[in-house]
Amino acid sequence: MPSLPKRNVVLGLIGILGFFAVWQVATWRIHNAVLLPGPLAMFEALCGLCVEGRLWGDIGASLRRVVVGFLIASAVAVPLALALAASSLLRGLLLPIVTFLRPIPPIAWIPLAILWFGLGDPPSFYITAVAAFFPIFINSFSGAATVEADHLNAARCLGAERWALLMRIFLPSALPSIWTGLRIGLGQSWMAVVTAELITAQSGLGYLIQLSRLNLDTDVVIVGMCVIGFIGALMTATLSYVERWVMPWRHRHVD
Amino acid sequence: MCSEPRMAGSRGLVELSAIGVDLGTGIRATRALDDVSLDIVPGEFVALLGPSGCGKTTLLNVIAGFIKPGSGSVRIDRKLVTGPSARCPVVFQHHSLFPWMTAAGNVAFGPEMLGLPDPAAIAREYLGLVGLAGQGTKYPGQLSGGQRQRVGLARALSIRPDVLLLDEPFGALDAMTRELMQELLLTLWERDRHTTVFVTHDLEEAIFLADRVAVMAGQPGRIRAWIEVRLPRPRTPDQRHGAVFQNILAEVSGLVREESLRVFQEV
Repeated sequence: MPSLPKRNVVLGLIGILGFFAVWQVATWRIHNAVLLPGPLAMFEALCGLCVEGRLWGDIGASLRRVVVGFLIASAVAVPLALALAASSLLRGLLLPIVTFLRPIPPIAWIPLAILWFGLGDPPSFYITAVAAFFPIFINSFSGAATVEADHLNAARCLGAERWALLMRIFLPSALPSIWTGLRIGLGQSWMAVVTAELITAQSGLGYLIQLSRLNLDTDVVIVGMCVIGFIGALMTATLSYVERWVMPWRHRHVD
Repeated sequence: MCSEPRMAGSRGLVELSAIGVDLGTGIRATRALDDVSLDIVPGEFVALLGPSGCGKTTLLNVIAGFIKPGSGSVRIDRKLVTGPSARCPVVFQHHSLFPWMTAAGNVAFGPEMLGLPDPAAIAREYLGLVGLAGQGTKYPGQLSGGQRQRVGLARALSIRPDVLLLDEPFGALDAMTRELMQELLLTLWERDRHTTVFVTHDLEEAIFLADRVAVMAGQPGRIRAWIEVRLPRPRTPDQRHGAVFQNILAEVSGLVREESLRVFQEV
């Protein structure tokens, strides 16, 4: 078993190197740096951006927008989902609204976001929050709704009242699903920030891509895309890794 | 910290009068319990025995306050039961430990909810009583089936209940572990003498544990007969092989067989 992760790392590296090889061959055949710059040109552009320092500022701007929006979404979605799971009155009142708002893609909110919040960071916060909200809410709600009847009954006959049931039974029961929601929500939020920056912002990775497109700097466009992909994957991996400290009981079993 | 055993015979009077329960609705509704009355005196150990579907678990859930009976009333120490309360905790068959809490956390949960002083010390004391002193930091997923049921027992006893309800708690355990668990349960009961209601379909288990066995019949669920178990206490494993035990077993066995056969042939 311990050799399995190692094997996957090796396979992954081979896959990535193969991808770069195919890409390089394709650029030799196409031979047009605007249509398809090669991996070497991209690495050059990446180094240039790093040295210039401009890339760090854009990464920072995008990350700030995602983190703020994601935190706002989590702070609203998780308590709301638990409250709806625990109360049939709230569920009846609010669930139809959520069901109706959910299919609206974050990008469709951009005009309203600009009208309400102007340009710069605030509309991006709104878009990243909307993007993260629904996956977090839906997963938290389904997790809390499937709480085991025996757990609730056991807690009640040990003296637990409403608030304790919510915090000590519903919340931890739902935590695995909440965590899944957070992971998906963070990913959605990260994708949405790029969209938002294409239109509303003067900084960030999305803005970098848009600006470079206008200048026909295709190599920088691809650098932007790769950085987005890399950071997105890193965020998901971090949340998966942190999970073992948040839910230690899911990682300890009889040997 | 060490708590003294509670006074025997003081509290834990259970009175059920004319309990009727319908489960389901419309044409699928079944009469789960029909006109069940029973009185259990403080400190008594009663077993509810019967085949699957005879309503014994429903009856336990009514006493626990999980199910509101359609007719009749439940009183504990003259007080009407309207919902679950810390007066009578339940030990379930399985999957009822909170998997996100350690063994000690599970046992400390009740004392915490009731605002008792030093829940951690109470948890240590009761884990010690069920022989799991060193296992407090383990999660339920790391414990064996028997160990989990011992934690479940400690969790229910840690709030020093007047009435303890057990719903086939040892049903999923192997035969040897089950016998040891029965003996442990009796040791703890001798210490505190809480009124105990024990649901089981295992004849020998019912007889070995209880002062009185209610033999239940299904469709509709009701109590068919009461059997007094006049075996001296404290009970010992070798009593299982004695003549008195075997005579009661033969009698109960006849009743249960008759009842199971009736249900078997109807279906």
